Amino acid sequence: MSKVEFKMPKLGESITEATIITWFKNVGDTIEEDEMLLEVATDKVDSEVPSTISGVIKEIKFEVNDVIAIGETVAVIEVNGEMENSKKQSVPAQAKLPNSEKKSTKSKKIQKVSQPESSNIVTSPSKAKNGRPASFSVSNPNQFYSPLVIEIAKKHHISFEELARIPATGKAGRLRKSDLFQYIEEGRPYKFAQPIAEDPTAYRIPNLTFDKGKGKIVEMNRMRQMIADHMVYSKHTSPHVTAYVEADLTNMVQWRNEHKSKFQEKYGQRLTFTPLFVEAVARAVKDFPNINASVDGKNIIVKENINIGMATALPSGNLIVPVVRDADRKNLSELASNVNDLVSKARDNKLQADDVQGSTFTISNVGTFGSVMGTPIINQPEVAILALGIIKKRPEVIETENGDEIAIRSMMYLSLSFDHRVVDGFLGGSFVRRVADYFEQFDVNRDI
Amino acid sequence: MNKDILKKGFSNLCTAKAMAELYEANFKQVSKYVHATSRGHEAIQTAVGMQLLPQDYAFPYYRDDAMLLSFGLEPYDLMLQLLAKKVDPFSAGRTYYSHPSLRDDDKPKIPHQSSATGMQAIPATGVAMGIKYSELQGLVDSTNDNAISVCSLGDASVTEGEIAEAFQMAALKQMPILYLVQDNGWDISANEAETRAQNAFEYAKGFHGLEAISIDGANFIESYNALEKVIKIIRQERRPFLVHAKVPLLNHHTSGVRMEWYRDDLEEAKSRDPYPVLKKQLLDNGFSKQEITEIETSAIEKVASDFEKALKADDPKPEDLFTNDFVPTPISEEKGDRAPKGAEKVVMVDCALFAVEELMRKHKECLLYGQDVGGRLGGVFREAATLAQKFGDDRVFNTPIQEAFIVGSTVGMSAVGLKPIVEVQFADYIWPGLNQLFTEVSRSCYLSNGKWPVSMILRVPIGAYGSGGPYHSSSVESVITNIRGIKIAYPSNGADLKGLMKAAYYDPNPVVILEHKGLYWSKVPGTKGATSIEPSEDYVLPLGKAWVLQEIWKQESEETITIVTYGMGVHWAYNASGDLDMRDQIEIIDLRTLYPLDEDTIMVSVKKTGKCLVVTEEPSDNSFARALAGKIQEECFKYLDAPVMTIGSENMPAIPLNSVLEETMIPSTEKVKAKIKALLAY
Repeated sequence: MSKVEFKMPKLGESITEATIITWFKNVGDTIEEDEMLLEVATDKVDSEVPSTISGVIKEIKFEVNDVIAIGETVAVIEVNGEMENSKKQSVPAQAKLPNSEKKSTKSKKIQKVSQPESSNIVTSPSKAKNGRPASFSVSNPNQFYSPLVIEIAKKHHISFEELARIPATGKAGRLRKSDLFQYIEEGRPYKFAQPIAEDPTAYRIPNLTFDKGKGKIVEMNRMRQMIADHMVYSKHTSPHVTAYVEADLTNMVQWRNEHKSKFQEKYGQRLTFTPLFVEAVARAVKDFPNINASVDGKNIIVKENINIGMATALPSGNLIVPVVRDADRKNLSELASNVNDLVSKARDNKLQADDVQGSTFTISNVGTFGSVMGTPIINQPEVAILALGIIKKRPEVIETENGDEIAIRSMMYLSLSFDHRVVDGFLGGSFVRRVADYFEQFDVNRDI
Repeated sequence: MNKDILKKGFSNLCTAKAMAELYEANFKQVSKYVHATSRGHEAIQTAVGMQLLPQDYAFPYYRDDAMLLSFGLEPYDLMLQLLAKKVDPFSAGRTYYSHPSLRDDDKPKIPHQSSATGMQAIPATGVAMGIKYSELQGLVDSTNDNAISVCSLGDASVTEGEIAEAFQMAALKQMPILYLVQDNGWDISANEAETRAQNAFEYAKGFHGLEAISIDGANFIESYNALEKVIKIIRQERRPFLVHAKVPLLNHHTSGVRMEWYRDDLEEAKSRDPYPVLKKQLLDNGFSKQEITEIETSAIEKVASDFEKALKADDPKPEDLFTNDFVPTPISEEKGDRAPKGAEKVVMVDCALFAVEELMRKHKECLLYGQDVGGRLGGVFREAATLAQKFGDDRVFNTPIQEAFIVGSTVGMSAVGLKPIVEVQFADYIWPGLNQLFTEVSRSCYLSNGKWPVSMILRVPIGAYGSGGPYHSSSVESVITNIRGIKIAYPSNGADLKGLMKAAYYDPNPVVILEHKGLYWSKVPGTKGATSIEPSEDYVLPLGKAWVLQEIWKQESEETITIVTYGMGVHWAYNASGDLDMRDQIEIIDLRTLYPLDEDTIMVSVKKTGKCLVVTEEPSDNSFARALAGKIQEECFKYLDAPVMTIGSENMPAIPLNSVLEETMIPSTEKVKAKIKALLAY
């Protein structure tokens, strides 16, 4: 019999920690390979984590609501059979993992949360300079750091936690000087603390006395905290500017009302306004590709794909942004199906990590809440976000062949917040106007 | 007898006696530091001391305070040493009472000698050998003509082996030396019946050419007259003489023991007191009682007032600890042409040979002696080949198998202004010489407060070179580096050896040069680098400067290492880094000198590379290398990415003869390679 440390698998790009929601197994239970062991909450999605091996649970190291680092040992499973002869080990998978040749230190996006690609071990495909194959564990089990490594870490503001994550190639998994410098040179992930330049002339945070007053204290749950972090980060990062336009949606509203039953019959999907909005926005994005971008240091990355995020309220009241991928390449029925699917998943808390990643431009339908217009906060690392107000019938002066007339029209305010670092008023204004134009110019004769 | 001599002798005796009595009366105050007095020995000491000249060299030992007074030193001078005062003229408070070192123009010269009884015999004989050499080479003038060396010994020390080496050489080479043996019949508590089969007079008869007499040392007139004749013979005939003087010991052996506890002859000894004898001799020669009383009274008063004065003198300050371990050397920079155009490549042993030849050609003070270095063979490694033919048998000569004499005689040679180069044949045989190296050579400068640095070079062929076996292969540098007060070179190639040999010669301090036998002819595979283009005659390489043989840049993303080594280790390290194709990852420091140690170069390198391996040929435990590794660790801890490691021989008592066992025992390029790999991968 041998014991294997089950480590928290990687769940996706930039996910570094997770909160345990449920343990499906208790100590003493038998578990099969691929059977779910626990459920965790991560960056906006909850994921079920399957076991990578069969055996008996000997130890559960964390409780529900504990926050665990990726790579941390969460449980110990005793296995029998083929591994019988091996000692207690935390690195067994090198030999046993069926797909170990694909392992890479560079994490990939998760394809399916239910089949995490990484187990507790990652074997480096890279060979060290002098030709010997290097192997290391993601979470350094050898927690000794030499004086030199500590000095370097201090200089580069690298925490012990971060040191523990650096692939180590020294004796018995020790982190060597060269490992550390390679890690630094390859560009440390931005998420870790970076040196803070002390500027004596900078504004300081005033010393505000905070009156707690009386009332119920509600501890922010993990998702709330992450939303809060994201919002503050976005506002700190991007100078927001908001542009407003008005659109006459009478034609679109009329067309939808006429066709929604037939659409339902033909495709089995409800026809809401959302796919219509997504379609128009995707068209406008194609016209102005620079709105579909991210900022990376001194570079602007103009994204190849047009993935439209839809800010959506969860039943819990929290906010999530499911993504319609390649929105410009989908027809209306595909868009409707995609949108409806995401909305229902969101309602049922079934969104998976992949559903909420990779948006390149976001729409926030503030009209849903009855808002006339909004000043949305950019969903980082995008550069603009579009808020759509409520569609409201209003008397409007319209130009007809017979001259100006007052008519009852379905009107909407559109507001676009954009990152003024890279998007100027001309681009932002033109783009949002183009969206409005597509809304107004809706072809009433269009087939479903 | 001349009344002045009697008066002076009596005054001297009274002064010495008054001092002994004053010390005893103030026992608590003066016995903080151990001391011995001449009480009972005053007559013979005074008789000798009064007849020595400023050009003579004297080696008084610790019971000879009456002899020091007879040289013209004041009780005050001696008391400063008794109380270990800063202005103690001999040692500045560093060594005990009546352990003189003196270099006054108007008095006999007193080179430093240790407190270990009998050990002064070899340095004193070295002086006599030096005097004789100087006369043969025409290095004397009217100021130091007919100088003699006087070695004072207690009979109990004559049983020591080194005395035999000294007598042997003095008799063999017919040196102008007087061995004055004062025989009081006692060691400390052991008496002559227990400790010797014959006294020094009888013992001397075994050394053909060493004439000896035995006298009553408690009788001043007899002693004076006998010594007058003997000294005249030595001055004129330039041959050695031993005077055995029977004396009583009337005071304690030293202030550390009480004679009443164990002596059974105190009454008998008192009956032989030289004081009433000399007093009577004064009366017999026409001195009045009043004159005698005046002499006695003035001696007592003088001693008392000098003591008061000495008590007031300053003690040394803590910072005084750190002076005069060496005197400054004029060689501080690398100079001359290390690789002259057109010069030939020369094996290491010849680089040394040519260096010595150039020095001998230039300086008559330079001479070379040791076992088998003379004309017939020119050294077992041919390291002195042709020198005797070129410079004569007086300047290059064989010694008997006497490592103690070879090493210790340099103290005396240096004292008379010569620059001896000596060698022990194999490092394995340095042990009998270590006593002299440690006790006399290394401490002379420090304990004489800089007056008597020993300028000498000790060449030591060292190291394993292929089935040399347990007595021709050993490495001993850890023992040598544990001796403070000597400089130690350990070159890895001929050019360094030549440059260091020159620096050692011009250094006024003792230098041991460890010369690896495996590098002498580059015969050991992989040591071609030891053969160098012969540097020019004026090339000099200062001691204490390491050489970065292989320098690398600071590399952050690569594992790098500093190898600190010397001698054969340099070749292992260089070959290993080449075999591993890691010349740009491994910095190699060739220490070249083990003392003074170039710590700056080492520490700068280790701080740069983050890892360090110290390579030695010695068994690594408790070695110089291991200690250096510890020091590097201490200094560079924050810069280290791995422990400083050491590789050396296996920790076994000897290098076995069989080549398989030898290979297993000592390091090699392969073993160093494995260690480098392990350290890089750490």
